[in-house]
Amino acid sequence: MWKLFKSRNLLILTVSIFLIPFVCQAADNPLDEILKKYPANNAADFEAVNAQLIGLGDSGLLDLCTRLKPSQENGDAPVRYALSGLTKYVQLQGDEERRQLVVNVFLKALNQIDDKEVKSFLIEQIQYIGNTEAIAPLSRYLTDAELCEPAAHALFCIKTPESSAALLFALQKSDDALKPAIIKTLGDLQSRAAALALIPYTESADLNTRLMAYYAIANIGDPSAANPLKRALTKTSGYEQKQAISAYLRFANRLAEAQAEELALTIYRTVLNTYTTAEDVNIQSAALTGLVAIEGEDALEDLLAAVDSPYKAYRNVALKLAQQIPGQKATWKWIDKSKSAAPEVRSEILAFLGERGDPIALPTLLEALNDSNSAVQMTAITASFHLGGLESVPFYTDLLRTEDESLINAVKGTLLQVPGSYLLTTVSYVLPTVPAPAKIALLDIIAQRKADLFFYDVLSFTEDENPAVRMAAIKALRDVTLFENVPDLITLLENTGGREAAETENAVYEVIDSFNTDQEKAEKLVQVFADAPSMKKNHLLNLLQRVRGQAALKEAAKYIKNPNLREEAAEAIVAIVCPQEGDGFGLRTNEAYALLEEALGLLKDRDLIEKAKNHLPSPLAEPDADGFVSLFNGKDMTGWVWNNSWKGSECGYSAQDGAIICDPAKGGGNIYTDREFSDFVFRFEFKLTPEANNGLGIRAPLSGDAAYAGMEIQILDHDHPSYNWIKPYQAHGSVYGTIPAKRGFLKPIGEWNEEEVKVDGRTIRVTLNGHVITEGHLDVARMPSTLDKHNHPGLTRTKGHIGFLGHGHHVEFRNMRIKELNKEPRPDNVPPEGFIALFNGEDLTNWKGLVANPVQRAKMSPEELAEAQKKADERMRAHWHPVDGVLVFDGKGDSLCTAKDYGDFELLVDWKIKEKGDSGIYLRGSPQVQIWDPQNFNLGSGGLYNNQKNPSQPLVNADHPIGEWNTFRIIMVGERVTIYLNDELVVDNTILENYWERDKPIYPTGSIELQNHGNTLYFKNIYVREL
Amino acid sequence: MKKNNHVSRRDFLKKSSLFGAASLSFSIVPRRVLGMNGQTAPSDELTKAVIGVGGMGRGHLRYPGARLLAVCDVDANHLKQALELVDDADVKGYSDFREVLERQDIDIVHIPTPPHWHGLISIAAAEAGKDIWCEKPMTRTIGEGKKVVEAVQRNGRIFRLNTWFRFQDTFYGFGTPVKPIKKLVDSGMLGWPLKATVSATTGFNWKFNWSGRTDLAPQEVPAELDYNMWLGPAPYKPYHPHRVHGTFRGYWDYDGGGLGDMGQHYLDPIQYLLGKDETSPVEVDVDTPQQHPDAVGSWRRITLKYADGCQIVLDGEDRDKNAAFLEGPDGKLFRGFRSNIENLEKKLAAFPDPEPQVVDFSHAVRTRRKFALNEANGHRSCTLINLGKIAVRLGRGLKFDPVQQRFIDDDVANRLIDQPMRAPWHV
Repeated sequence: MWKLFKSRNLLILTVSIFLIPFVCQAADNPLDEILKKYPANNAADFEAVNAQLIGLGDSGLLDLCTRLKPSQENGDAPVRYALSGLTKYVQLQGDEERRQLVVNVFLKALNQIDDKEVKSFLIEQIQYIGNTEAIAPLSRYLTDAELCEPAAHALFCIKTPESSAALLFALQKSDDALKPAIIKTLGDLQSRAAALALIPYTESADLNTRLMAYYAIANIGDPSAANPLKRALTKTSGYEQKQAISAYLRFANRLAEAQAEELALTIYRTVLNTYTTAEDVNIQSAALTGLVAIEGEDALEDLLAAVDSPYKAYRNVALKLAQQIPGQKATWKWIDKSKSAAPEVRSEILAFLGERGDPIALPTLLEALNDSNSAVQMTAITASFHLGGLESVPFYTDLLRTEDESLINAVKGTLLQVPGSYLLTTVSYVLPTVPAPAKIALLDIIAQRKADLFFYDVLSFTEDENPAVRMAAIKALRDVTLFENVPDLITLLENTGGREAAETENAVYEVIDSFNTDQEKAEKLVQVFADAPSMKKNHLLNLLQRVRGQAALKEAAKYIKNPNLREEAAEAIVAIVCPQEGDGFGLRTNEAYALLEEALGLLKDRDLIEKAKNHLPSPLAEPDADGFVSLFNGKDMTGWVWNNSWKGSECGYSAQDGAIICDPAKGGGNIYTDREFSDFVFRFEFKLTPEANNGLGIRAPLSGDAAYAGMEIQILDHDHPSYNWIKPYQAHGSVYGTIPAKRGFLKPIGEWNEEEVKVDGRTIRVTLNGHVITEGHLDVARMPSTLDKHNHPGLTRTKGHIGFLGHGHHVEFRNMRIKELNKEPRPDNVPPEGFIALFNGEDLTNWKGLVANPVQRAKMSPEELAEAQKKADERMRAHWHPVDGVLVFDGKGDSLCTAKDYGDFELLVDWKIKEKGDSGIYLRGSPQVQIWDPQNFNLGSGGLYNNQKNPSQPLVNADHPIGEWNTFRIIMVGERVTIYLNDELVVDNTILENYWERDKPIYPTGSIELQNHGNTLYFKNIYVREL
Repeated sequence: MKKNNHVSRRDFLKKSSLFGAASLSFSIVPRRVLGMNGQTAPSDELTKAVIGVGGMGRGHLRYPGARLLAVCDVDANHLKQALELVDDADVKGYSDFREVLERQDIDIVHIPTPPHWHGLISIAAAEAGKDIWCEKPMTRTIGEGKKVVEAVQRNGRIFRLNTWFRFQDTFYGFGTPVKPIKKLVDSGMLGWPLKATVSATTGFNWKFNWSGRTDLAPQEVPAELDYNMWLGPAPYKPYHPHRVHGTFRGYWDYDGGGLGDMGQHYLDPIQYLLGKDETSPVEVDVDTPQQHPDAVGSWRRITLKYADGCQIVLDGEDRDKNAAFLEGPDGKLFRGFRSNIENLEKKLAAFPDPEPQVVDFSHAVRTRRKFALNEANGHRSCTLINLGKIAVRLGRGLKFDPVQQRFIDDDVANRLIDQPMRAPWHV
């Protein structure tokens, strides 16, 4: 609008302002430097820059004002920051001289500058710091259409009698359009001097003028306003009338403030008597409020009468006002009033008494608990509790004996606000004596408070004859059961069915869920159900489904062959294995898939069947002539699952043009095969882009950082200069962090490379474009520690998924194929590649008998030793016998020792014992890797039993049932031992202490011995490889 | 200012039969019986009008509990769109809210206008006998808030704000509702006094994107917008689209940036938690860059301190990544209801529930019980926001008297409590 009015002036002004910097440039104006500091970043900078600004003196500040651009065009923001900042600064300083200086600068600038928007900005600054010196200059603008209001506001802020006078003067001169603003300001100022002069404007032809006049004369509060306002009430309607009424009441308020209370009261009473319809309730309320403010305690009778009004809103206002009249006398009057009032009003008065805080009202409130009207009773409950607190609680008992649910809930609401022990005592006392609806409410209270002390009370109600009560009790059990009480829940399960059983399950689950790991939860479940009759094990299966995880799966699998439970077991397996909402993967081990297949055969529900089928891995292709199976069909991602590293993103891997492409622009995450593999030869081709970084996950789990939780074969453009710092164990083809790779065999960037990764047992070999670049032993690589000194537990995994790990660079893969190794069982006593068979299946070649122990043997002379050995060998032949390819010990001889001593080695040995059997494998001639019956000793085999300072127990119980064969894989490097029992890690990189000479480390070499412990033992497939 | 005032163009001076009835008997029939068409069928249904149907307003159209009868907006396009959205022949459109207030068949008025109008329309609605559902922040200035409280109370009206986290819903990024937090505070397990921190770490975003621009070249007012009415009480400044509609939050004249937008959502529940519904802080500290006189900018830190030692820290920089949402001498509560107190959930269950709140607005209107978040406690939590705004605009600390609701010995700051309004608007 400014622009439309003043475009030509604007142009001139803009040009002239624009020229100023050119003029000033020659003088290297300090103002430019100062302006660069705006906006100030903090209080200290603000202080500093303002000090500088003040230092410029009034000519410098005037100069600054002239830099204001109209309507902020072309960015005069620094100038506006500077000037508004200056205003605040000057205000804060409180320095009168400075204030005047600055105000005078603004006033001068006002004179010089024509643009209205700039002028209004300057006037706004004067609003903050102006005083009497500004009144005259500002008054000029009261007749200016655009600047009248800013000037009037400034005059209001200055607030002296002179400002009123200036406004009044201007009122006569100004255009009609500007009068409302001036009148309003006179009203804001409560300018007595203007009171009479304003009255004529209450009859102006212009509505806004009239409205402002009503407001102004009312706010000024001069008695002369009474008649004009009264006239206005009668002559107006609609919004204007509401404004007139509001003004009239405001007038009365002002009169009361000025001690003209009689006049004010008259006005209030007039209004009360005049505006009596339903539409005017708020006006009555306002008048009543004013009246009570003046009359104080004397208003009590008015208030009591007001409560006879048919209008609820009005009664409510009266009661709120009644809170301002304290004292017992008043309270008694209200009590009496409540007794004769209609029920709705009685409720309102009782609520008021509840909040009033006068204890003498409490008996009335408690009496009302028995009122014939239930709405009154409800109010009495909350009101008596509000007023009386705990004192009132005993009186609610009778209400609990009704069947009225809303009353019971109201009581429940108050009880929940009562502190702990008092509440629970009350509840337990009352619970047996009340009918069903109240029982249910009280049981819920116990549950909400998680009052486990009341477990047995709650349990007793699970046998109540009322099914709703039984259900409430069972639901409450969820919150009051401790682990030690769970057996009672199991008993309950045995005796219930349907929904009651389902809710009991919920209670059991709530307790089980408080344990930390899935493993623990599954174990606890098994524990509590151990003694349950098998008919009820379906509940166990339901709960295992909720716990999920490997341990739960293992348990559920036990029931798949049970004719009574196999269908439930199948459903549980599907629920555990398949992913749930937000779970992502579900379980994808080969065992899980196998169980799922088995379950599939037993399922009846179509949705479950669908779910199970969707989760099974895609069928493997047919092997090619070399026995390799393709893992990528060249078209789509069949057979691969995506790990979303960042929620909400898309998968960065996709199939295009016969390759799988990792494209960071598309998204993120890793991809994995849906199947797990153990030993295999994996071949693939890859193509890099500059600086590419990716990785091949091997034996990887689906979660966690595959480089540590699994193993990662590095894929890297390691010749790129940005990787010139990497170590050999980070190069392309390395087993990341642990086994280094040779460099120099990558093809140029952009060309396809051919790579092969062979993992067989504990060894790994990587071949790139025909050259072997990495070779190593997975346990040796981490004993005693890895090259990168980090923990790589993934190296101990014996199976897992193959994956592509990386999302930062464009890399392409194709032709992924795999040949699994060691799928067929090897004939007994035929060693795997790289090993020799210590037991040939037929005789005791490679073995000798035991002579004492290493310490004693060291003391013997060669002749003594040879003699002793001969005798030992004879004993050996008497008690150790090869039988059908198995080495059998009759339990009566001594341990069997290898003829040769070994230093660092990898040993494989199959063993079998009978019940309560006990044996061991000695390494470096020293005890031992424990072999025993886990049932007997509550611990699995494989631990370094004789360790005292270092771990001596196996990490898990991996034993097969007694009577079945077990396989040890024992790797010893230096002092440390890593042991797998049946492919599970039981000893992790642990020092074997020297049993014979505790103060020394273990001997560097020694024989491997099969220990005698007085039982029958069976051994076969004893293979060793020296490392 | 335009020569021809908006008001005189309209004739909203309706005649109604208020006067002349000499009888002093109370009319027992509900006023809605005297409906628009003289129909005599009373209905139990509540009715509403929505004033301001641009952004938030459209949501208000569908709030349950009352039947919509009128919509109002100073932008003709917004009005048209709202009417199309509602698609109900019984809903009438208006461009002047004063006409809406004259309708006697409307019980409740919703006020999703920009904040500089909230106070005025709330008071006018109260004086017209309407109940009020007002958007947050309740008022742009503390002075208006005080007047709203007085007007609502003396006119016996039911008032609610459009924020609700003290009694309902998950409390933003904190992750749980407020009720268990209240239980925890009341239990005393954290000790006293408490310090609350509102930052990105504890789950709250201060939305500094709501900053104003300082280079607004004036533009022609679009034909559909009554700019003068849109401005209402605010000082006249040349029109630019960034001032209005979606981006008004960036200007001190109408609101206060992210602090104005989200402040009451975040701080009202904290006021409730600390039991400070009937008082205000005594001291405000601030760390901020200098603010532009017209455009709202970001700030770094605002600290509100109560007389008993309780504090609320508004942390715009989120420097302390370990900050607890609530911290007391005996314990801390972190985002997600994590705590350094062991077994907290179990311990907490044993404590009594906080006093129940009135959370159904229609029910409050019918029974005339004060709503959970009403004019009184809403004004106090809005004051927290406004104290912050004043401290930021002045760039320094302040001392406040919670009873008088004025700054102590600080005329400068007090000029921001009651700010001038253009005629014909006043409180």
